[in-house]
Amino acid sequence: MDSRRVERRNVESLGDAIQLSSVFRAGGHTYALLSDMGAHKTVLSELPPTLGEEFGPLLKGGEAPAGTPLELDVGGKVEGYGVFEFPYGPVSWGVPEAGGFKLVTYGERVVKVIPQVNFKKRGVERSVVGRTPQDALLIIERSAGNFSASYSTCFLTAVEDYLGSEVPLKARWTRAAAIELERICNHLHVFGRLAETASQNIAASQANALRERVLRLNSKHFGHRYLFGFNTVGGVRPDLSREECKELSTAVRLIAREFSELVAYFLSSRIFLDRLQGTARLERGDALSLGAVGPAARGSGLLWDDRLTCPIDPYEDIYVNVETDAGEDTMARTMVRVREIESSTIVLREILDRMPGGGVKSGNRPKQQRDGDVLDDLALCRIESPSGDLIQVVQLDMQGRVSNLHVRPASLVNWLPFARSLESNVFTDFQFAFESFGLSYADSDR
Amino acid sequence: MTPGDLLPGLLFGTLATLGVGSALGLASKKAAYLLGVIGSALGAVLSLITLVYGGTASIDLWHFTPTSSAQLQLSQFNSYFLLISSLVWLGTCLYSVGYDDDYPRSLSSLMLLTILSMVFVLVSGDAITFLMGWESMTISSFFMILEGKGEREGVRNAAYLFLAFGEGSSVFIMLAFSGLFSTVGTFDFLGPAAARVVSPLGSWIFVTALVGFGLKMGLAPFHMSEWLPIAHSSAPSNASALLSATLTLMGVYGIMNIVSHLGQFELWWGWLALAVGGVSALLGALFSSVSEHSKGLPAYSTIENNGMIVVAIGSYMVASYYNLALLADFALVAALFHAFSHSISKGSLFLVNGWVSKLKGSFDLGSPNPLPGGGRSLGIAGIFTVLSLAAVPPLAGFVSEWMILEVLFQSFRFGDLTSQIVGTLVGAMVALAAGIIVVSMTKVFGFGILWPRKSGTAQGAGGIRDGLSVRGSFAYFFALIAGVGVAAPGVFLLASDAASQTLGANPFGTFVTGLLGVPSPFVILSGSPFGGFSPTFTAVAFLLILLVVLLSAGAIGIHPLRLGLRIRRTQGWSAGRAQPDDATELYNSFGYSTPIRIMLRFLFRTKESVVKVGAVQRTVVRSPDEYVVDLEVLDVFKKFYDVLAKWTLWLSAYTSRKVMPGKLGLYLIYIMAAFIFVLIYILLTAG
Repeated sequence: MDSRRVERRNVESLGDAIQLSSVFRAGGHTYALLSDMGAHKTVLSELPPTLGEEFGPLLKGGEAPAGTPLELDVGGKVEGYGVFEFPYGPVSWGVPEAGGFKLVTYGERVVKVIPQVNFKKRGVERSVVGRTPQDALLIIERSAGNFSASYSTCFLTAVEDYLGSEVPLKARWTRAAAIELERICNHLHVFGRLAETASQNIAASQANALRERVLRLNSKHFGHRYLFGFNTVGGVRPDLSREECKELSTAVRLIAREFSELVAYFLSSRIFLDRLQGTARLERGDALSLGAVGPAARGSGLLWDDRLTCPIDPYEDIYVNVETDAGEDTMARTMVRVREIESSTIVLREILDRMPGGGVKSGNRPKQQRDGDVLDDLALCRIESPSGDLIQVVQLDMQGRVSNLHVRPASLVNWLPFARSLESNVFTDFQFAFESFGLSYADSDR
Repeated sequence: MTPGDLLPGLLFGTLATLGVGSALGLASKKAAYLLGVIGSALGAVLSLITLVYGGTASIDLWHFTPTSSAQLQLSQFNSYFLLISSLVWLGTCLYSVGYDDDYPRSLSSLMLLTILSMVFVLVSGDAITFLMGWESMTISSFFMILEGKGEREGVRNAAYLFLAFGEGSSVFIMLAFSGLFSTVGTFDFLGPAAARVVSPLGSWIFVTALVGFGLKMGLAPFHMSEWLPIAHSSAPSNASALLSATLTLMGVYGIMNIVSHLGQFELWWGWLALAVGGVSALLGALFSSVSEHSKGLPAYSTIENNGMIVVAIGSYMVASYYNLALLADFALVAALFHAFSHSISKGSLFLVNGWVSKLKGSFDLGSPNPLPGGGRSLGIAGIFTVLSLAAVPPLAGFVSEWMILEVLFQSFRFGDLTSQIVGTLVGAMVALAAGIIVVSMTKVFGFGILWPRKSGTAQGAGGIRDGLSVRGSFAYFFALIAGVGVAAPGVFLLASDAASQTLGANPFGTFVTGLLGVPSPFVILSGSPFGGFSPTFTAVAFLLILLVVLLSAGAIGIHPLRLGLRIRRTQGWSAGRAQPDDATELYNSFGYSTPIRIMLRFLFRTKESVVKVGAVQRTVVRSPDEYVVDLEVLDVFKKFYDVLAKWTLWLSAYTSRKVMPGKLGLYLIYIMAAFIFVLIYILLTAG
């Protein structure tokens, strides 16, 4: 384990600026991975006794059997005249994937939301055990197609860290370029979905057209529209030339410029803004205590972005402007994404401009001999996926096969903040809240 | 012997049957109700003869002054109202035979006494007999409300509130009558032969009559008098039907009678009636749509319908003022027609809801108790009743609501801009009310009647069976509602007969004709030329379409007669999950109208809050006022009356404490002062 990135100390209680990010088992121990939001540090601790019970099923969800819906019910029961549970999903209009909700309501007003996940459970973590990292990669990068580059990079960074492999500089920079492209693509997607929900069909089509152009760039320069297969253990497949970098950079700059024109229209559409402003407020304190990550947390004023707080190469060398917004509502989350498209474009152009030379692949080297500390037997990586902080913990056995994998996707921890934000909103706000959190069932259900 | 000779005999027969029934009620409920059925049938026959043969009868009972006598009179005008009431009473008494098995015997006795009093109200030709009937009706209704099964304190409060409003109504009616008396010098001014009054006291008479009868009709701002006694006391359902469908009809009769005896209208009377009616209709519809009480909801709907009737009366007055004879005639017939269709539909709705509540053991619309089979007749009567009240063609409610809206559409004919604007605004209110009432009607049928039937179990609820009388009354009301719609020209004829006394001519021929291939007399025209509608042929068209569907089904191999055997039942789609079996997982009636509560929070004073009590969240959506039984929104006017009552109580307490503190001297001085004041007043006015 890289002690530069992870601080080991025993945390007794949550609260203040300490956010519980993940719980996982490794080597017979249960660990809690915490984010010290004030000091911008990742802290690894024995599981604190004061861990909120509500996080139990949520964070250990990987252990639940496939296909059994898991209700993320943290509040108490609701009493009152006329109160009923309105079932929404798993096969309803408006829920894009197989996932459900129970809306506790007395009609129109949402008193409480109980998300139901795990309809889409595939058991990714268990199915990779016993496979070589290269084989496991095929499953992992396909488990959440929208976040494929983040998933594969996160997994490979952890594996390479574990093996102590030397990965060529250019490969690391190419991975970062892919992650930024993925971010732009996803944020455009979310913006398009929001516009569609507000019946702004032209804006939705414009955003989708821009997203399609990014997908085609992916396809042209990385070999796959959703960036499958570009990553490999010890490097990447595409070897971007100077000209290609320049071409990509120009194309992305053009897309960003066209998007900024669209945003100017968006900011002048009162009808659209009305649906977002004040909708589904997630207060900063709730965002912190419920473990919100990504644009959802940054829209509530929490400054946490893995590119800044636990950077992998090459983010340590690049200036990343982390966007936050204190608005706490759907509008704030949307504006964080809108601005992140711009800032990602700048980051991407810097990456492409400064793309180092040399090869993009290296041979695997055998695992170095280490001392007997159990903690050294696992590798951990955090990557800022488009929807937020993605954590993967990897252990390999003596044959170099995966023996333990823990994935803590961003969508999983964002369910509770989403549910909290919807309280006391009306039914018609549901879709806006849902889209603004960028929630994905493929991501959360694994 | 002409049919007219039968009238006095029939009238006495009716009165005697009802009187005997009322006395017999103390011994046997069933006998009383059966006599009620017979008495109502006699009343219906009597009024039909009067209407069709155009006869009148006048029976002087007692000359109490040289110019006035207590007299019973029958005319086409009052027998129209007697016909409507008798038809409702007949069904209600029939229903009561099977319904009333758990109320004290006095209920049947009081109910017949109330009916008897209403007959007196309708057939009295003089003010004294009228007021006696009116008082007796109010007091016997008061005791009927006291039989309610709600919480004792609530029932008592509701009954006394009813009495207070009832007596207030009497006071205002007396004021109106005093105005009439001072002009014509006799108390015999209610009959058809009585002279029309042109008097400087006209405005006094009209306004006090509107307030007095409006109090009984539940017009805004007195609409509490209608919904509160019925809902808060959870009064017996047969009594509720009587109160809401026919007692308010007495108010309609009263105001129309007074209006027909006023020789000349001021323009602002019409505006006042239009405004009061429009506001009542809209408020009634809105409150009805958010009511969760299976009798509060229809009671609010009564306010809506009575508002519409007053709107039609107001239009009649404005049109008369501008000498728009055609429009005035149509407006008056519309008011009469609406009184008919509303009374029968509302009577039916109370009985249907009453039966459902009896089976469920709750007056809560959203109460989740499964209804173990209310029978097919309940469902059929229920659907036709709510369709009629929601104004679906060709049923009774549609025809009259169409007529009233047609009148308002023609408010452009009014002679000046202000009247046109008033007419248009009131038209918008009435149209809005007609739209909103659909919400309440779908709610009362969907959640109150239909939904529990489907998910019910096979066992009976406490062995309650719908006997022949209950099923018969449902079938009777179904036939009545469909019949009044389909045979609308016939009802139009009766209403025209009733209106002819006021209008001076029978308007039937002007409005009912044939058109575009539809033979006469099956088209009702609303003007010349304006709109036209044929309820009869709409019904025929519906049946033809149904027939075509059945025949097509036959053509593709589904035997129409075997359709009933080929029903395939599947579970509905429930978003990919198992069908919920728990009532808390189903959309309920409260949720159905919560959007209205939230959107119109300024009107309903809705307060929402979620209180977190430990791990339990309690939602509170209610008005700032407390729930007395299970009504949920605040009637702003109730608040007003509550404050008024509080002040009055305080003032009386203050007076009794300070002004009359038990000092004899002070009291004597007070009496002396009052005596001197009266003397001075008499001296001054006598001069």
